[in-house]
Amino acid sequence: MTVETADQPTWVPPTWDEVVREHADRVYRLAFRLSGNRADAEDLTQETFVRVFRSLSQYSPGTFEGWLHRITTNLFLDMVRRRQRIRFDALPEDAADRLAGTSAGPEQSYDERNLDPEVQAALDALPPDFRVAVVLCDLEQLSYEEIAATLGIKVGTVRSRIHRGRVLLREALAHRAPGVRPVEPGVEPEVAVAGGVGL
Amino acid sequence: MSSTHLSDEAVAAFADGVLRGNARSRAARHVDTCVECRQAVRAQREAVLALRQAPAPALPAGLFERLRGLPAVSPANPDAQPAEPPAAASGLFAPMAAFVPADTSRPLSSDEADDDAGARHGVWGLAALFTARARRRS
Repeated sequence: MTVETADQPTWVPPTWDEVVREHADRVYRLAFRLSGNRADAEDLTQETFVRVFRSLSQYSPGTFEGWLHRITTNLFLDMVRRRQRIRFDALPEDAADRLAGTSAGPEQSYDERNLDPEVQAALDALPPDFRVAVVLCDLEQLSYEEIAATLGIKVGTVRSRIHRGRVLLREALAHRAPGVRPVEPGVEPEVAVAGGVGL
Repeated sequence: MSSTHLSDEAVAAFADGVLRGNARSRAARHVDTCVECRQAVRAQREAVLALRQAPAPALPAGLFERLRGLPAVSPANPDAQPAEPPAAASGLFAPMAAFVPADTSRPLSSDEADDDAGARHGVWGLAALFTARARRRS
């Protein structure tokens, strides 16, 4: 048996490079599914990482992903609220810079061709609170409890928003057969919800 | 009671397979005999499948590079007097931690976000800042 002399021998903090490599994909994917477009997804992702960068000293092992989910989700909800308050606000002074920096290139048209615009449109049509719950549950595969903790709401509310969000999604996609296949009677597909295990 | 329809919450939980014990067997018995609830459960699962079948958006390469370069362009907290110049950040946690005030890492609430410097610029404004800086550096 090895006895370590240091108090905290096991955990070595990752480098910033490791943080970005490990989490950038997930944060961007979440930001894109919530915001529905690349420009907002890029901005939300950058802002999330700015906050992570500023607060790294308080990071404790095991909470990183939950922390990222919480920051991204709250930034998204803030953005939605801000835009609801100021619907017709003028473009900010630095809009030109911003647009120049994130200009649409071949990459963007590639994204748009491959993202299944109907599913994204159906997501975009959901009220933001429902969208957040469904995305965290079905795409990020958080458990109901984790979503409740992320959003600061009760588990019952989470379930109810997920249920309603999926009903609306299913209705929005009802016209198209390919992505949503009917299920054989008596054969219930087991939709694995990783986060749900252990409830 | 198998004659009582499942609540919306139970429909979602049953569809996700997270009901356990008596709740699960009651729901299963009811769904076996109730067309309406069976369809509700199916619709939940179909929505999940449609979402998961959609391809995930890929991280743009330019964004990845901007995130990696963040320590070089961003002070840990613009409102604080940095203990070291931002240029000294080497990518390791320790030098960054030197100029991160302890209270910035509380769980972020939406209200707190509003009195943050980044929020004053708005998400767009801050992103523009980094975009501009990243371009100047290259």
